[in-house]
Amino acid sequence: MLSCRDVAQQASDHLDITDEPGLKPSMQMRLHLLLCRHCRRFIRHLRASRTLAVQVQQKHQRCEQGERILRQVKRDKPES
Amino acid sequence: MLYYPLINSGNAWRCNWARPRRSLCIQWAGVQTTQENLPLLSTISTLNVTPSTPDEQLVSAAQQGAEAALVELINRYQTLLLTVARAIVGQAHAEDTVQEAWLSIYRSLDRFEGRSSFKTWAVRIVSNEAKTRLRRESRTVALDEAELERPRLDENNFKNNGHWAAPPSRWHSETPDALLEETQLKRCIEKTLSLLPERQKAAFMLRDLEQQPLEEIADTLTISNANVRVLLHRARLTLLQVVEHYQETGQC
Repeated sequence: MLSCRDVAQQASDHLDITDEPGLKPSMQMRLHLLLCRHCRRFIRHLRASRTLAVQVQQKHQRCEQGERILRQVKRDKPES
Repeated sequence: MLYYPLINSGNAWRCNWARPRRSLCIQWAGVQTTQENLPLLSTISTLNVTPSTPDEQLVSAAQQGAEAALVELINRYQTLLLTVARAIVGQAHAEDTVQEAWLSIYRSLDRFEGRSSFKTWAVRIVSNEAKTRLRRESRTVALDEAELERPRLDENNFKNNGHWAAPPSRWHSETPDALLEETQLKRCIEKTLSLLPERQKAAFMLRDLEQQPLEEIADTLTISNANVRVLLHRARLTLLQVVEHYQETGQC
C-alpha cells in the first residue's frame, strides 16, 4: 500500500501518466487517491499550479526580435 | 499582405522557395523578369501574417520567400530555442548557438517537408547545434548532479508512518482561471520561472508548454528519461510551493 509520502513523491509522474490517453495510474495509486482526500488535494494543487505557470509563461513566450535576428543571419552568413 | 517573392525584392533570397523549382529564382539567378517568365499565379504566396497564422502556412510562405513569415516564426520560437540551448551549452554560449540554429533553418527550410511540426524540427536543430558546439570545443558543461536526484519532500510534512502530518491546506481558489486573476501571484510565478535552473526550465517548457513526449525531451537535452522526470518533479514542486506560500501569506 502506498503511503501519502510515496504518493506525493510520485505526484509529478502521476500528472504525466494521466496526461497520456493510453496510460493509466497503477492500481495502488488509484486506490490510495480514492481513499485519501489530502493526496487528492495535493495532486489537484500540483496540477493547478502547473496550469497557472503554463499560462503565465505563454504570455512571455513571444519575442519581437525576429527582424533583427533574420538580418543578422543574412549578414553574418551571406548566401554562397 | 501580398508577397511577390524576389520579383519586387532586391535581396538575393535563396531559391529555397522554388516550388515548383522551374518557376522562380528570377533575380537570384540573374534572369530578367518579364511578363512572360513571371511565376504562375498559383506559386505566389499570399498570406496575411499575424500572431495567429498557423505554423504550416508560415513555413509554406517562408519557403516561397516571404520574409515576414520567417520573422514571425523566429518571434514565436526564439524564446523556446534559447531555453533549450541554455540547458545544453549554458547561458554564455546560448545566443550564438541559437543564431547558428536559425542559420541552419534558413538554409534548409526548402528541404523541410513537414513530417514533424516546424517547432519539433527547430528544437531538434538547436539541440544538434548545441551538442555539436560542445563537441567542437571539447567542452563540457558543469552539471549540477544533485539537480538530477529526486528531491525528498519536506519530512516535516509527514509522520513516521508516511501519512500527512501537515496536510495540504485549502486554497482560496483552485481553478487556474481564478488564480490567473491574482496579479501578484502571476508576478511571483514569473519571477520563479525566470529563476528556475536552465534544465528544469527547459524540461518544464518542453513538457508542460509544448507537450513533447518524455523520450524526445531526454534526447533533446541528452539526459535519461528518469532525469527528465526528476527535473519536471523539481520544477513543478517549486511552482506549487510558490502558490502555496502565496495562498498562506498573499506574498511571494
